[in-house]
Amino acid sequence: MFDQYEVNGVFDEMFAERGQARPHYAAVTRRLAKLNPAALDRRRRMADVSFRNQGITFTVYGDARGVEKTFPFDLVPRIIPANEWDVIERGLEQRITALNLFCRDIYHEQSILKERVIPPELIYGAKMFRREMIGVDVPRDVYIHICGTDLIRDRDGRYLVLEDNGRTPSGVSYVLENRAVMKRVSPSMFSAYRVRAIEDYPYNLLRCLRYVSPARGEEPTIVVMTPGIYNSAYFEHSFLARQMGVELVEGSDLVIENGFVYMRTTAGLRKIDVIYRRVDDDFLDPLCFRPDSMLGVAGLMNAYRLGNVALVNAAGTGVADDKAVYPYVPEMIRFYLKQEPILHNVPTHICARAEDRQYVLEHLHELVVKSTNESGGYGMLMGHQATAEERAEFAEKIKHDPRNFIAQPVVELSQHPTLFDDHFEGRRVDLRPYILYGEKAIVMPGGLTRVALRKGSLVVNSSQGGGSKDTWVLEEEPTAT
Amino acid sequence: MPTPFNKAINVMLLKITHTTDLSYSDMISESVMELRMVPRQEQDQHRLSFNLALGPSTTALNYFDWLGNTVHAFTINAFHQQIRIVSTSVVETDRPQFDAVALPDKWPVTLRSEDYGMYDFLQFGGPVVDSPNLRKVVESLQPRAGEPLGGLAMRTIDLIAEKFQYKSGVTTSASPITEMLEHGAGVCQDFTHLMIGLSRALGIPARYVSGYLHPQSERFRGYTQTHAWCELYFPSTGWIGFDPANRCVANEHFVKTAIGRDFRDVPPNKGVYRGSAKEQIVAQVHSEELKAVPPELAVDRMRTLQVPVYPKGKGEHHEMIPQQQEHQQQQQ
Repeated sequence: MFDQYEVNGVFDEMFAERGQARPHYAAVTRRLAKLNPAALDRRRRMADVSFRNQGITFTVYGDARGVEKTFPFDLVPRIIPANEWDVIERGLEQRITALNLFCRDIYHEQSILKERVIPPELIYGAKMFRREMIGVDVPRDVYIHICGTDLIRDRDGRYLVLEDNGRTPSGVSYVLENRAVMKRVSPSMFSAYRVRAIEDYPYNLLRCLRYVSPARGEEPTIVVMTPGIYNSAYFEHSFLARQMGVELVEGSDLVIENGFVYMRTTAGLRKIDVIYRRVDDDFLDPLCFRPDSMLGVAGLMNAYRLGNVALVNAAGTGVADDKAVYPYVPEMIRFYLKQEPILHNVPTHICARAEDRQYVLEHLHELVVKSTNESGGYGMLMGHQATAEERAEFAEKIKHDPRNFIAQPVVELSQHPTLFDDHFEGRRVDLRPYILYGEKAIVMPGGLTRVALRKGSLVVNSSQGGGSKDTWVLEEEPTAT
Repeated sequence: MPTPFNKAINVMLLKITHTTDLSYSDMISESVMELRMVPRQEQDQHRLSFNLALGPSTTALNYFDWLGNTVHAFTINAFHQQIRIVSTSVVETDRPQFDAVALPDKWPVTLRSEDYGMYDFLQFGGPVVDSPNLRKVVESLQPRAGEPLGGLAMRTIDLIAEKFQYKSGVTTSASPITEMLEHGAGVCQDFTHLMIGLSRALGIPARYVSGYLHPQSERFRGYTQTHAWCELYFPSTGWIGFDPANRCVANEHFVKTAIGRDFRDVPPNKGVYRGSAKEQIVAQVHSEELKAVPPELAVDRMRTLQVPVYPKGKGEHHEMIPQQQEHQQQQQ
């Protein structure tokens, strides 16, 4: 089954070289090699049915057919050995700690700007810099409680941070469901390894939410706030609420009275202490942000300012995941923690800087250009694959609004064997681990491994036709069995 | 050597009563409002007391926004058909009379690196939009490197006064300055936005001021309403107020309630409500000079006005509607 499998220049997660599996993949390759096509097909159909029955779907925006799709799931797990994970875990803890200190600083003393570690105009020019948050004290000084950080591996297998998603990162429900399906479909393969458990995520999330409740000494009332059933991640919102045993609400279920937030229930109003909101800042409060928002709660920001409710994540964290601020995260780590970054960034050109912009415009054919505030793979240019017209169009966009763009060299993401009918082909992958930050940082051991299903494609976003894999973090080095 | 400040500082003790009546054609519920009506405490303006009376009965909570303006926030969840807000302030102003031209600041303005916060007052945004028409007016100002900043500011004021007509009904509170440039007319809010736009185009930090203007005989326009003017940043001295609608420098007749990048940061009242009723807003401002502070206005107080609420409206569920920020709300 792996006979035709090509290892061609990029880092392959499974094979050190053709026909030679890395030690931590040995057991998996052995078991897969024993399966005949019919057995594989049966497993794939089992997995499909599981996802469909669970209603695990997402919506692709901008698709005229408006289809709800299941997230394609690949039967081959991605495996990360303990020693590699140890570095990732420490690196992510360090990063979320620095990002939280940064948010607190930016909305208070701004010492990182005063000392010119970050150019002030970059922050003041960030679309997601919420002036309304200046001087607002948030519960426990935590801003980014939940972060989804995207990691990729370069040709040498080095893990690099591609971006930090510190607003309302989604995808964790797929991680949990992928694991559940994997255990069901391939129980013996799973039990051949000592895989670290991820099933305690909803419990850890709930603990994190309780930790930031402003109602100390009281049993806090916690809700998950969703934009509604038409949101692409609605499944996840209801999934997490159910897993944690808390109410799922929409903006219209909440009302402000006397500076506190209440939920309408059949038994009258009930005070809410913590809102895990999956609604963007822009739509959170029509009085404070976009007046045309139908999804928010008018006056919510006033209750928040008064310290009567906790928002998770805090309002204004978008300033930390602005793609033009991202290149400064290593500097933040040095500035706030006096440490060297454990995980490295992808080299990034900031188009707002004249010399960078010049370089970007001259090298568009070999760069990836991204809009600083878009996510999900929207608004980007893959320079080496684009047509001359597409490049010219992007050049105009960059000249017109340089602050809105950054560019990075094309990183040849690592590849992982992915099942196609009866054989395996290498497809590019990334990894999004989820980090919780409450009393302390907790990194979920694993995360969402996304797969670019099109051959040669480097775009793994689900909205751009990506799939996913279960991700196994091992408890210890595999022993030769 | 000429001094920018006259020796005599004029002190004025003012009582300002600002009444806002919101009435609705049908029952509404869940009115959520924010008020920016409290005179700021500044070097040359001292608030001695602030009284807020609200009806229907509710509790207003207050905080400072990011610009240091005091905001009162309140909610009326029960069904109601009118809201009445009466704010009464006693303020002492002692703004020195001065000659802006005599200040040492020169154009172009050089800012110190610690003044990076000025970024907000140098960017175009909201109603203060850049346009070829704006650039034409900037060109006609013919600024010369090294000329006194105060002189340039006064020339800007004169130019606006000569080229634009004060006329209500041409623009709305949401109008960008392109409309004023096109029609050649507007009210003090438009005059202010235009002066801010011209100043920012020249690299001079400029901000919007919302407040009250106590009439000085017939000299000032717009004294029956809240007023708007702008402040320009002079590195030697700080922010200095200019009133393009009245072609003058702000003096002791001006009472500042809020500052911002433009009108969007400072509206005296804004809110949303649930219901499909039509809204009407009537605002009245009355100001008088006092000799002494009357005992009933000596301390800050909150009061409730008798405005009815109703146990039940119609059964339908309504969307939230933004309060209108149209003509009635425009700063004249």
